[in-house]
Amino acid sequence: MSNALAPKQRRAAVGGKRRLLSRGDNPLVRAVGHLPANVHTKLLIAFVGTSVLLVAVGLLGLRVLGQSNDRVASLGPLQERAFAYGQLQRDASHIRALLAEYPGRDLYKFWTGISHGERRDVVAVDKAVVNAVARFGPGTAADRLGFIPPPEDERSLVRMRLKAEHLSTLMPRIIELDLLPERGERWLILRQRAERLATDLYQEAAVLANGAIAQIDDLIARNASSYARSRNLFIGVAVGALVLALLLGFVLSWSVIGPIQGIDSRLAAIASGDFAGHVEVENRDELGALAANVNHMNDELRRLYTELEEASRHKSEFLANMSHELRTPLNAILGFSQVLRDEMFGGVNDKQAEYLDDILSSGQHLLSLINDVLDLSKVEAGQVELDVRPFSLREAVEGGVVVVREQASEDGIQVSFAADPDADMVEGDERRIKQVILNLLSNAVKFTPAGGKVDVSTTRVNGEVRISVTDTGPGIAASDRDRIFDEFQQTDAGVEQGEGTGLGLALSRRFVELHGGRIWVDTEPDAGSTFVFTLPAKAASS
Amino acid sequence: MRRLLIAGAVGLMVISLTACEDSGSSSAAQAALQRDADSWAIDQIEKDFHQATTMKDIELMMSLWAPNATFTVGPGETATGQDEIRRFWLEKSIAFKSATHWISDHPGYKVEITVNGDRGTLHFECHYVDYDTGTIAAVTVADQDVARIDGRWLITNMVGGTTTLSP
Repeated sequence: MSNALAPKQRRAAVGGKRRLLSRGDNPLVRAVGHLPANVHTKLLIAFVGTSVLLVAVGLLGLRVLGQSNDRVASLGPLQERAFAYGQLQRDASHIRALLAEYPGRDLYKFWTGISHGERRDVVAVDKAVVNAVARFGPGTAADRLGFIPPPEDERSLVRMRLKAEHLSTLMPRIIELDLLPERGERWLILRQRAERLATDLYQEAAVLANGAIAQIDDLIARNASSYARSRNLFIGVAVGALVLALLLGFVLSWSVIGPIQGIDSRLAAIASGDFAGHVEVENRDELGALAANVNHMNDELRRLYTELEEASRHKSEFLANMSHELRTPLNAILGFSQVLRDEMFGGVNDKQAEYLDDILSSGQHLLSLINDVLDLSKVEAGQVELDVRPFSLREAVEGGVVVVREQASEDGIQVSFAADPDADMVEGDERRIKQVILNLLSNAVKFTPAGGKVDVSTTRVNGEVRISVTDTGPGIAASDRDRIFDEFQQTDAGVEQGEGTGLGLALSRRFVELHGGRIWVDTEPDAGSTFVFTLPAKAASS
Repeated sequence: MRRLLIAGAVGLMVISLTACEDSGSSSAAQAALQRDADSWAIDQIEKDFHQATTMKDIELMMSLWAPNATFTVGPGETATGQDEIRRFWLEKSIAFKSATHWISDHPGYKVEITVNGDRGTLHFECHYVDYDTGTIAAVTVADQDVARIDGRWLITNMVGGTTTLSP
């Protein structure tokens, strides 16, 4: 229970390091988990939200395109107007320039470097002015312009028309004076008026033309500015939508994955026998319900496991006690039977001797069974303490070989032992290791038919000491390979032989595992068996 | 969470308002202010023009012209480009002669300026006073097209004329 902090404690513990985008314990993820909706609804809302953002971006793009289209559409008429007004400006400039061809006397005082014009030239140029003015007036009408001018432009155009008419009435009088030998002050004043009118025409036309061009420039500038603003806005909204979508995806996924990981960790702990903790999922959806059920299952399993442990302990205690109570009278039976069989207190007939042998044989079998049960009970009850010290593995194996060799010889089985000098001295409980070796050798001899052989070997492999017992017996079926190491499990051949208790291999495995080693069998039906067990490197020294 | 939601909503509102903002450029007040500034800059051309002719400062004069400007005076006398215009002033105008002692004066109320965007017109009258004799030596007028080029208002076309001295 020590690792199962309450949620508030956990949050306080990580509070200093908590970040908004930390995966598991962050406020956004927790808040989404707290929403009272099922996972399906949450996912649906997220997808709809993202879709709405995409639609918003699309609508925004359409709006920007529409505005741009409107501006482009208004640019055409404006250019047409600017061109027409520009033409008026050029015509007015032409008139003004013609009148400047023969300016008044003061100009020659100022521009001493320019030449004076001839009289006939004056008439010709002034007639050209008349023609130009005659063309200018009608050019201000809407039908000649090619469009209906706006009201404010129309007022300027009317003024220009009136001034052009005034100029056209003035020019014939100037031409009359052009032809006189002495033009006089009157001529000069009329020319000044004509120049003033031409200047006015020019300024009016320039204002119109420049105004139209300015509007075009402004439209283009506004279009460029609007494009930049729209582009930035579009990018901003798109980035915002992307960030929001990522945030939604992150938060939703972790509001689902976080609880699943927590539940997975708890289930893994339960599978390994740890019922101490609880999974903390604050979601108010299916995952929250699942976590609650996992916790309920955890509690129920813990209760059952505790009960089972208690029952197992009672069983082991019972077996240990019973084994002890059984062995005491059995020793008396065996001892007195042996005394009678040895005829220490007088002779027995053949029948009596035969019955005494049966008593001794059955008693030995029962004692062996009781000893195994007692050992197993001690192991399960955790009462076995290994007496670890260095011993010669070679001598231990040779001792076992000696024990089984007599029986093997009687059955016509050859027993051999190959010892690796590098795998001689090991550290462990010599008595328990000898018990394992003897068990494997006894099994090998028992299941090997006459004429067969049993090979024992020791080797050092990857820092481990490996002890192998190989026989030429019937082998073991694949379905039996794992269960033969469990308590009271025997192969069909073992059952048929009617010997053994089904505890030898189970005890061997317990003893090997107590030393930190492994035990297994390599076997195929009708191809013999090789039982192997190891002692780990830390327990082995050469 | 609530604060985050509010912040998100405010952000979206700002984005929406920005999107709905009128795409028009400067306000009317800004436009009027710009027009006044442009008129003042164009009026400055007229002042510099008269200062240049009075002080015989050809560099100041040439600083008022656009690179490809045209200048027309008298019968067929048109100068194009800075070099021709510079020669025109130095070789054909009495104002830049060393023996001339004229002050270029001008009636401010006769100055006419129009502005439309980056283009405009400028009209003014010049009264050249000979300060040796104390008399008015010449009265002229000038009609000019002006344009804003690289941020500066410059003369792009000028036509010189004449007038009589009158109120």
